[in-house]
Amino acid sequence: MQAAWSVAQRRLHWAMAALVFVNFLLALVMVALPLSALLAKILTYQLHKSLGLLLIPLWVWRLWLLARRVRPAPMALPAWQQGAARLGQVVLYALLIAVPVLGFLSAAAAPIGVETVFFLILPIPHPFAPDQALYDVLRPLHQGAAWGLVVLALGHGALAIHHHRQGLPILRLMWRGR
Amino acid sequence: MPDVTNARPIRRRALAGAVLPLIGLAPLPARAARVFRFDQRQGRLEFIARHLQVLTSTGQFSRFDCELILDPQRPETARVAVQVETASITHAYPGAADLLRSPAYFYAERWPLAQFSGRAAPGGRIEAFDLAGPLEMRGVTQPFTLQAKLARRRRDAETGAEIVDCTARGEISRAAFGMVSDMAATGDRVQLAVSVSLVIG
Repeated sequence: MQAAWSVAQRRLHWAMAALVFVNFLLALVMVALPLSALLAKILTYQLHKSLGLLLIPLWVWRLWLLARRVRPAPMALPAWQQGAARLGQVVLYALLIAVPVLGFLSAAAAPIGVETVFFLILPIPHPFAPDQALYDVLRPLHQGAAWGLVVLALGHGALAIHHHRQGLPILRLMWRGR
Repeated sequence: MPDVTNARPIRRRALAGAVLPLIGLAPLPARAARVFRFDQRQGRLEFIARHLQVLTSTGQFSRFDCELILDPQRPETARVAVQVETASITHAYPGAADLLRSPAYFYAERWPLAQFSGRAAPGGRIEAFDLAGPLEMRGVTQPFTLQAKLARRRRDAETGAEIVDCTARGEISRAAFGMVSDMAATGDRVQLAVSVSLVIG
């Protein structure tokens, strides 16, 4: 047990951050692509679904590491800021799992009924048949949660930079471990 | 489109018993060819396309007319005629139906109808038989075969009517009908599928 982020934790943190932002941009592109670019549209949709599904086991791994290891000591911050940071992290973790799960469920409910094939290799069975009414609920939930995740992650990053400039080792701990 | 209210048969001769006792494995009463007319209200006409060889998408035609002539004792005499309004194509993905109506695909403005008339091939059984004949689409006529299947008869829970579910599937080469767009994304082979519940008693 050690009071620092492990290598695996740090790598997971940055890998998931990169995945979230890449997948978010991919979602904007895939929706905007016209049907005349059908091949690109299909490929971006499948890549978006695959990267999203990848987030789920990474999230489980990250949570497992978080439960097993001792966190670094809290920064010298006012209590309300520490509380806000903790709340922000809880919401971030919740959205990190909610967004891909809602995305997968909305893909299953989508009336178009296109399969989910992980990186065009491994078919992932949908848990239920296409359902327009369910899709009309799940799709906006997925979209709203994704926007919430990105905005919150950006805020999280901006605050980390802000504290770094104030001389707190938050960024250094997550980048180099100590 | 003719006025069709349901998929009940038109009796050509006295019709004793159900059309498909062979399927239900019940004793055969008197029999004769029966004519079933149905459209989008009783049946479903779908097309299934493959993308990148691993994905599928399904669309439908929301206006079509079908006549099936079937003698349960002589499936080799079965005949079918289908007429489809190509502009009635629907697809769940926004914008896809417009693309499919366009000159790149069905060219519905110029070729508003697609038609198929098939006769049963010899050697068929009532449970599964082929219907082969010319399919005309987009100004091109190609040979086409539908593999028809009739399920065991059942009783409809709501109406109490005796029903036989009929499905038929066939595969076309869309390129053979001049539809060559997006070949990298969508495969050449497209399945056509008809399903209907025939009211037999």
